[in-house]
Amino acid sequence: MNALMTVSNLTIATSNRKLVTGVNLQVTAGEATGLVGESGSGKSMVLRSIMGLLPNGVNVESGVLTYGGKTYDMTDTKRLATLRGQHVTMIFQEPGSALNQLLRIGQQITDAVNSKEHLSKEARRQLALHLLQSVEMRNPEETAKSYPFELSGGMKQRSMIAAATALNPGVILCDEPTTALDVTVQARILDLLKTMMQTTNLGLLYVSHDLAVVSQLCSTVNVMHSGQILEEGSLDQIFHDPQDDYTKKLIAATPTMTGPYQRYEPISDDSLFQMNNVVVSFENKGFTLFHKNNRKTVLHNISLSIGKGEIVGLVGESGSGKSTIARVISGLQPYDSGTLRFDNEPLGKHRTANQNCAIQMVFQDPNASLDPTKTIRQTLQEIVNANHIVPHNQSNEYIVETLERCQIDKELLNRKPKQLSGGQKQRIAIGRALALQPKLLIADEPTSALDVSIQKEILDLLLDLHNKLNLSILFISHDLAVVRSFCSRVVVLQNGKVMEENTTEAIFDHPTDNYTKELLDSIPQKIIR
Amino acid sequence: MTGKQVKPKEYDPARIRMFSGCALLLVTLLVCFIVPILIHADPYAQDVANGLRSPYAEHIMGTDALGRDIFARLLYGGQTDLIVAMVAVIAPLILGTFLGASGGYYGGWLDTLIMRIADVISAFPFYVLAIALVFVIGNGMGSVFTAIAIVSWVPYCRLVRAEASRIKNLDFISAAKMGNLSDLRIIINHVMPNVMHQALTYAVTDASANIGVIVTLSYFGMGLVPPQPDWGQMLSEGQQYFANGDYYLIFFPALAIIIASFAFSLIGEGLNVDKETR
Repeated sequence: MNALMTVSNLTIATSNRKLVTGVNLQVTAGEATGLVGESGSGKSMVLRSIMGLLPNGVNVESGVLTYGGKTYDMTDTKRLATLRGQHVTMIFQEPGSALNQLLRIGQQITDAVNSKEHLSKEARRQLALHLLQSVEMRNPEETAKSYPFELSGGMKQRSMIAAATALNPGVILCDEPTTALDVTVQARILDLLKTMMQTTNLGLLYVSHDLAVVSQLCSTVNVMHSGQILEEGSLDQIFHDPQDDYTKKLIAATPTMTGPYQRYEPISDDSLFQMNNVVVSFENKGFTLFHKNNRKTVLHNISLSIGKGEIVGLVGESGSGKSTIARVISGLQPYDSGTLRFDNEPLGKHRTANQNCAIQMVFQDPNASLDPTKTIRQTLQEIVNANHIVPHNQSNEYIVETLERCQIDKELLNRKPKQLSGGQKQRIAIGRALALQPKLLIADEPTSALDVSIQKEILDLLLDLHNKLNLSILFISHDLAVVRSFCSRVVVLQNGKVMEENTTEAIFDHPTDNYTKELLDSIPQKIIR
Repeated sequence: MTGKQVKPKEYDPARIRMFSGCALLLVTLLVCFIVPILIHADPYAQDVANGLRSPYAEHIMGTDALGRDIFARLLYGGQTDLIVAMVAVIAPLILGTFLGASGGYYGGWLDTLIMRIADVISAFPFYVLAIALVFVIGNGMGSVFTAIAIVSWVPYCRLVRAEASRIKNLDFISAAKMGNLSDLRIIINHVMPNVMHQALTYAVTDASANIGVIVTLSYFGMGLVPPQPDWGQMLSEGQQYFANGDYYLIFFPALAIIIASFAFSLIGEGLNVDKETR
């Protein structure tokens, strides 16, 4: 157990503020060191400072890095750059934007080697194939000739890893490399990193906001908060015997695969909402000089029902059609065929104002769900008044009351969205939906853009509203652990088809469908408490 | 690569442009509106015997063929030209932004219709169309406004449409639809305010172009009716004496046009750069 790379006493600052103070890290060969923290904790800054890639205006104040027996002053970026590529490389969160869209994969991943020793065309091709094989790409020949936009997210991230390992570096810095990927793809990438670590004795410094992912891969974990490392320890120690309060809070907020299931006792026999055999297709708008214009079906005969006061989970990976279902239910998306019923009445293509109010939605991206030019008061007042929820002169009190229910202080009412945090914006979005007194709330990945501790708060809020108002919720998520803790029934969706539908308990304990099983196996679930 | 020190705000080139543009415009406006009151200048007083005098103590910019004081006419001309330039921006700004926002928001046939009309208008050379319109509607301030409105909403519309078609897919628009707000209300209340900043930046630049339009129209004897003083007319009247060496008839109005256009351009550029770097 000797350290491959160490960073000591790293301090990063802008001209008026310290972003990272006194960070010490150690990376061991053949092992992964985890660096966990929420957004703004400075974890990405640490990685970037090692690569010498800090943004303008942000500087390393002090810090010493050792690698391969040599000591580097981290303020000396020129000297630090000699490590880059050959000894230390980095992979990024967005494989799409990390690759050059205009270069073929084979050329991109061999560029680093080519710049050191000029390769012949054939040698370069061989190297590309070798690298792509080493990242277990299914079809290396073809991938080498492809452009990034022709590849899936997982394949792009594999290509990035191939490029990062081209010069046989000792350490790879990983900046949330699986955050943008689906859970099944994430599991495969994590497996790949694990294998590579063992076979080539790589050391990884793995940055993530997701404790569960870190627990899959890392042997040592550092917990970071507002620029400082609060706690460092072995995986076991951090998860089973955390010392620091923040670590405890973080672990408590991470949804686990244990614990009791939510149950649903039907209030009446009628369901609140029913969807029967809904089909949605889009016109394939592309370059159609020689091809017939074809339609792509995104929802195949979807049937779904939601009981009064029930929380139904809708689970699927990107492209499975879960957001389309949400938009069909909310009336934003026209559908080809099928019927909808709400509250024992058919829901036509043109809905009444009351029907519109009764189904409300909370969106994924808190930054896009509020009009940036309006204050919170204006946004809420407009819809409350337009729908005559309360007499005009009482609307102000009504808004204050509604937002208080969502734990939003009335002082925030005169602010615009940019002066609010992500969690606050999401609470306000929930408040806006509630203001119209809906019976069904569609929550489309309401927490996936938020930090884990805020996710917990939002989920608790939704659960509280569900209990107090007997609100039915359709909860859409890609995160199975969240769904497990939150929903009483789960619908599993793949490629626009319902694969399995059952109570949460049955889905998680006795899945029958193969895809459901694969999904469940992919969940990073080493955390056992 | 060392991170560069962020420059303090006061050296920001965009701000300098913005500030100097505003200052220049303000000074120009003040001179045009305050100075005539102070010096009791009369732009209409004729003194034919004293015509075509080059600058001297009593008439610091000289006199025109009818012996009217060029300095006074320049100041009063500035009052109309600057105000018309700024006011004439408003109608195309609102019209173009509304049409662009509607086209982007609805898409489909309405969008196609609006954009094809825009294509037709931009197919004609700008001045040819503007002159033809004033010719049809008749002279006067009102027809200058109308002509400018009809011709110059197109760039606003194009600018705004692209942004509007992006914004209509954002969640807050979906939320507004689910809150039973009408399309018109969504366009005016939620789409337009979010696309306005681009249109406003362009409007400032457009104001400087409008000075050119007004001046050109009156140069051709259209638009403002004589003897109302105006920079374009002064140029037009002055040019026949230019060959005789009476440079001051053209030099001062031209200088005024340059200064005013420059001020608007500076502001527009400052706004634009400010937006890009943000």
